Amino acid sequence: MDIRIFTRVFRNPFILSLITFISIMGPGIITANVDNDAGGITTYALAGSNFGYDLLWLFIPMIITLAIIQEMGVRMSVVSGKGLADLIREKVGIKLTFLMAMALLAANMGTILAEFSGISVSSAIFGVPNFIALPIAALAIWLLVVKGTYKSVEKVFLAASLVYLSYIVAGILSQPDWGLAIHNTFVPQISFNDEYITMMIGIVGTTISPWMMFYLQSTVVEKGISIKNLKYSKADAVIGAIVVNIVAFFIVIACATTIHANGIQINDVADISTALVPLAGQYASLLFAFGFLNASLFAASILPLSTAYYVCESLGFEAGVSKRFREAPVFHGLYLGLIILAVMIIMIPDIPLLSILYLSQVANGILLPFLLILMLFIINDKKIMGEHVNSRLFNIISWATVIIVMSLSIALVVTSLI
Amino acid sequence: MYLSEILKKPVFDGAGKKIGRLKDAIVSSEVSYPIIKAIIVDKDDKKTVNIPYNYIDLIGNETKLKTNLDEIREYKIQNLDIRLLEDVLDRQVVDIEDKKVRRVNDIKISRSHGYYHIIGVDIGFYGILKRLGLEKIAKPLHVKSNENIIAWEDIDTLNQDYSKLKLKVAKQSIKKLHPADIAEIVDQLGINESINILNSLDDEAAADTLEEVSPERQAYLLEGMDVRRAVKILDEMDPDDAADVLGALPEETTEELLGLLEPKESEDIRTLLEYPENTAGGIMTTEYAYIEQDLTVGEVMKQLRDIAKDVETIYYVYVSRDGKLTGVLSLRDILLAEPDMKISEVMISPVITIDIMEEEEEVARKIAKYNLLALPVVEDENKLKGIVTVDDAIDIVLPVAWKKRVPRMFR
Repeated sequence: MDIRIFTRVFRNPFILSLITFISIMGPGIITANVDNDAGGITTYALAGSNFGYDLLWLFIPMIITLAIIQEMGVRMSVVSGKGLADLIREKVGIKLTFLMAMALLAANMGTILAEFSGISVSSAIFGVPNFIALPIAALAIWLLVVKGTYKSVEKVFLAASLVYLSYIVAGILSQPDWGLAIHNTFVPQISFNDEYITMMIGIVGTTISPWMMFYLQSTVVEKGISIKNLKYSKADAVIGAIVVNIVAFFIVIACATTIHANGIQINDVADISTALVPLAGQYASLLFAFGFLNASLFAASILPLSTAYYVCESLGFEAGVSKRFREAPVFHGLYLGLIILAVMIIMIPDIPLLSILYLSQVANGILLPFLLILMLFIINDKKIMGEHVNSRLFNIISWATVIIVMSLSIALVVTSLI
Repeated sequence: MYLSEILKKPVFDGAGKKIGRLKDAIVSSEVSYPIIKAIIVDKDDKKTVNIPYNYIDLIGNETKLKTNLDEIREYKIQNLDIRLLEDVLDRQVVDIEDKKVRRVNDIKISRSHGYYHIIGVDIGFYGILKRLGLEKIAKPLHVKSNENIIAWEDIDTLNQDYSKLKLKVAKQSIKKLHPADIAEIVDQLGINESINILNSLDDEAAADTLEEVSPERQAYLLEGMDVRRAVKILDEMDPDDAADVLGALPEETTEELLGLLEPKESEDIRTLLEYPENTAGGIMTTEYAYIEQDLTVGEVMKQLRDIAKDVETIYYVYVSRDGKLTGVLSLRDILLAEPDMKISEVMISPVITIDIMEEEEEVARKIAKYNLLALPVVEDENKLKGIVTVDDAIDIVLPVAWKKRVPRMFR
């Protein structure tokens, strides 16, 4: 067929602006999908199973909050052309950077553990014992990163992103009570018992996490998006925030309609999968487990490497997968160390997985307020942002957002310590 | 002595009265090992003052001035000045020697004959430990104090936008590098710094550098640049590379840039844009040498000099009749043939060609199989459209640096 027909179609102005948008788009959407990781899905599923539709109202304020924070992150990176780790180092010098890097290392280690425990749990559902599943997963992750070329990796990632749609399908197939769901989305159902509040904090904490902000900003930098396309990037950040919450919304709905409605007591993802078999059929259960495995693998393939990159780059160590171990010992040590350590810890028999997930949330909860404050200082620095500093109104909104998120994460830390 | 040891340390005037703390030091960017020209002092009343070096007695743990503050004529910061804290410390610099981007952990200063020379930057772990106040643990960790210092001469700072300066900039070592090396550095940097570097190069060097950067990034860099500058660089690029970049840009921008290019150049690029990226048409260049079949060797020899000016390779000269490819001559064939011979007698025919819609891997395979330096690309059997040179074919088989790089999606 004559290819020129295609080129002519692609020159249609509407299609062109769409293509421009799609080419700019990506960081926000991918980050959004990575954000629905093992910890995220567990939390949303538990929220739906234990509280039904009661927590659905949380998603609208969360979309707004996440959109505000992501927009600031994207704007910062597009204008400065730098990632968050770089900006922090250049803004506050080495001491604070070092503290941040160590805190991030600890928090991310916790999250990596959560991802590998997710792999362990979901492969157990498929009957694969974890002493086989974990090493294979670790090897697959390592191979994908070290041996994969840019294009194949991108395809794998996009395919992985599509799997998240299965949750939306699952949500719709579960035949929810739409009237009640919509009502509860717009009318908050607040109760003041401990469990409810802990769950609320947990949802916010897992949706807005420190590593996600680092990750979003470096993908923006990697794409090399110029200031002229800032508006597309902003849209991407906002759409990403909406997408992540829609997927989460449907996970809550699916679990609320099936598990909560039947009054089944749930503690973890394995319980959910078992409970789904009689309620929604074996395929729904397997689909859920597969989605969970995919989410854990997806995040597990990104987190160890990105952590190694942030730490090395902000402290000035040589970094890069293509470099030999001798050239970049700290980088490779961190990267491999994080994966191997995570696999080993998860393989310890009778390891208290729930406590690990909790600890990782606490570490993230401690880090988040500091990070948000630093972000606000950076985004209001005229030397870095020029005319793109926050407007006064936006500053009020974002400080308010930061204070709310901060108090929630402080509350999270306090409740987990008690 | 290191910069971190003198920053924020007290400054005393000639009478021994404390006037404030050392905030920053200024050096010139124009010499290899510059001296500290002035210091910036944060006065106790929260204002800052720039003190020229001739009023400074000693810089160190305590900085002493020769006179009182009111006798000092303040130093005016100039365009090419570098502020060590503001522009260098904790920032990225380009290591010209290793062609890498490094982060500065500290700056080494040495005193001789009353002047303070900047020796180099510390990029190692020791520099970090020292600034964290942990140098005591350096020894047990086997971290040596001076192994990771890069000479000041071998670095380029990135903060300056050279395009805004009309002056000739002396210290700009990056310009001396090969474009492929500059491209590797550009790939490690953010978009703003990359544009600064490209702006400091002349059009041809910038074009050569850009050709080695990944097409997606090329597009973003061109888009971020001043339009007139972007056009000049595009003009210098090979049409096939230029078409690749423009293909990655939004239509509006492409049209704007094409409109500003010279008509012939933009016509060539427009033709190339019609073909998909990974086909023979997508990677070919339209700048090839061709002659009419009814000439003699002598006549061709006379024309060669003219033809050579704007073709990608002169080693193969293609022969055509009524727009159809009939044969090919190598430069050697032309040089060795008798001047009065007809081209049709010496040319090699039939020519090995490839169809314009064929996949790029096939192009590379054919070039390798027949040991060619270039392969003519044809449409409808024998209408010559362009050529693919062997260097572009190698790029298909052995991807250049940016293709091997791990995507930052993981970061």
